[in-house]
Amino acid sequence: MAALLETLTEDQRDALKELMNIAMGQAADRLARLIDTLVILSVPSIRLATECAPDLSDCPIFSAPSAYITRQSFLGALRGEVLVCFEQDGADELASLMGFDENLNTDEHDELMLDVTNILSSACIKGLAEQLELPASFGAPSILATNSTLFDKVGDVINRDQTLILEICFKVESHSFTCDLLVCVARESLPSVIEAINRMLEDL
Amino acid sequence: MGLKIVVCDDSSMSRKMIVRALPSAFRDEDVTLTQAANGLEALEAYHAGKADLMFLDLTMPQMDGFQVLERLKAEDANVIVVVISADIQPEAQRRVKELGAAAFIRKPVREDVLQETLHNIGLV
Repeated sequence: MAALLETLTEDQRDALKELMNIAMGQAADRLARLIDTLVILSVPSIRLATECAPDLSDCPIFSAPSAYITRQSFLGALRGEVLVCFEQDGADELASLMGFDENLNTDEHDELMLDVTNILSSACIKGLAEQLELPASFGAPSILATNSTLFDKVGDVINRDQTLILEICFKVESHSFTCDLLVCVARESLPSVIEAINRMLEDL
Repeated sequence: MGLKIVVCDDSSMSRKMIVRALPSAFRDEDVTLTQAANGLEALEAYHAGKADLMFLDLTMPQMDGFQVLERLKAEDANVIVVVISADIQPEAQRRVKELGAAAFIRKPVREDVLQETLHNIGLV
């Protein structure tokens, strides 16, 4: 499967990034409506995790002094896991932008982050699945890590059986809120994903 | 027809989709089509006299679509810009209009929507 990924053509990579761009545009719109502020999107990037650990060291979130990672599975022909990485300060600011009290307790704070994860990941995966014409449903979001073990925890999740990682960064204009969203596609979904992309490219 | 069009998007798939969705009249020999992979290339094409009409993406490396619109506005440029973007936030749409875009189309671009937009701005 690693060989299959390594032989992705430039056109296939370009198509995957564009599909991710469209899906994330829908997710950003959902978030922007929630906080009534413009969300700035990065250009998506694609990483390939082979038999070795993926190199995530240049993900902006890993340079944050304190971060918070949530996860949500998606199941079906398009299968994998979404990881949403929030900077701790940004998570607090997001709560404030959404009109919550600054003094949220830990449970309330966790619940808020899980709600935001659900909004972002469901909009993103729905957008990807619709474009690829592959069915996908969602599991419940959960907290993955909240401390300095982030890198190892994320590496564990991705290494288990995820091979294709689509990454995008959200920033909220004029505020410190930043989050990275990683869509980790499971290796067994890759043939269907690549086949769907090939069909789209052939139609052009 | 004598129309000069610039299609600016960092995705080659997206550029192809836009070209494919153009009305048949735009495939005329008199229409010249220039492709740009980022905002800098689009501005270069404009300055080289290759743009009466520009299809412009927003989220791009090097120079994004907002920056292109700001530059064109500062130069009082004589070009019709239609933004075609996945960034569908109401605030993004409001800003591009404020910066002088003639229309906003959400991605993925559909032939009927593109042609209706061109009709509404008097190009077909």
